Amino acid sequence: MASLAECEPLPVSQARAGSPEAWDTLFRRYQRPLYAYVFELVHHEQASLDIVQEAFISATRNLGGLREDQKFGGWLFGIAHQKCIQRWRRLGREVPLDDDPGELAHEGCGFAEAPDELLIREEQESEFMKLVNQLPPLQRSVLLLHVLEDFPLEEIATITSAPLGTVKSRLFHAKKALRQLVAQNA
Amino acid sequence: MKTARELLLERHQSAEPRLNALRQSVVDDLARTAVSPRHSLGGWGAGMGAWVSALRPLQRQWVALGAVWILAAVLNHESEPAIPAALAGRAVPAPHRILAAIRENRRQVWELIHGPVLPPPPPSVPQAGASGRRQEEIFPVALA
Repeated sequence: MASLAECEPLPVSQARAGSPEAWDTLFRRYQRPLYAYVFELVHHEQASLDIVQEAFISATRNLGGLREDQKFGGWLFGIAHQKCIQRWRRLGREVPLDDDPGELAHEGCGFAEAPDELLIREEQESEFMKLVNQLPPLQRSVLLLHVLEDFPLEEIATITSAPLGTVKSRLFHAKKALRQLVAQNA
Repeated sequence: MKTARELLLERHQSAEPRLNALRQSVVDDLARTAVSPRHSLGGWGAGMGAWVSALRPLQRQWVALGAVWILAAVLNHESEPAIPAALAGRAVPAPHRILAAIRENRRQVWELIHGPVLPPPPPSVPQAGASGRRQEEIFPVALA
């Protein structure tokens, strides 16, 4: 399984030059995390596959707009995130913008820890997923981006088009809930 | 013990074959468009490509039509009447002369249609019993 420590440079410049092999490498790297992210937001298998495919196609057409090659992952997740929002709107679901319990007044509230530090025992797995799915969608989105790709908070703010303070707040509350779960079952 | 990431990725392991197929189809499409240079030009290039492929089967006809057009253009150029040198060198008359010429021309046309315009008769001493005008003057008196 791919680890978060993967530091191989991504062939973004080759992809920009139109190399199908480079695109294959990029998509292979992100396909499963991207699918997991989309699925945990929309909870529909076919819709998730469609969104991933649309995100891939959109990426091939718009890579020229990406300024920093090392931010390819965040950029791709951003495309998929927007497509999830569009799907919510198409289905007539209001995008919940009021799940924010307020920006955090101070930093260092616990979101500085790396996602790898949160370890889940086998008997906690289903409980963990249940808890993740109980989170409001935008809190869930921030938590998934943090857990799956360990994106910096600034990048998560860009992906979700949210202010940095809001992202911090969402991640803080989501992780607090997860820590409570881990502590309960310890 | 697993990290949250491992747990999430394992949960979606079953989607991997479909994701592979999806990725392959996108990359294949990309490779196909990369082979055809006209697609790299975007919409305009694709449009031009469609025109070229539509016209290519009629290549001979287009060449023949082009030759006919060139021949017609050459013949037309050769048979064009040259402007006489005398006319080309003549100075343009003054506007008042042109106006006078137009007026004269109108007058001539009017005469052709309505007959010649007689100049008004010079004032003369009327002769008794000789002129029609004189008779006209006398006639009402005779009736009375």
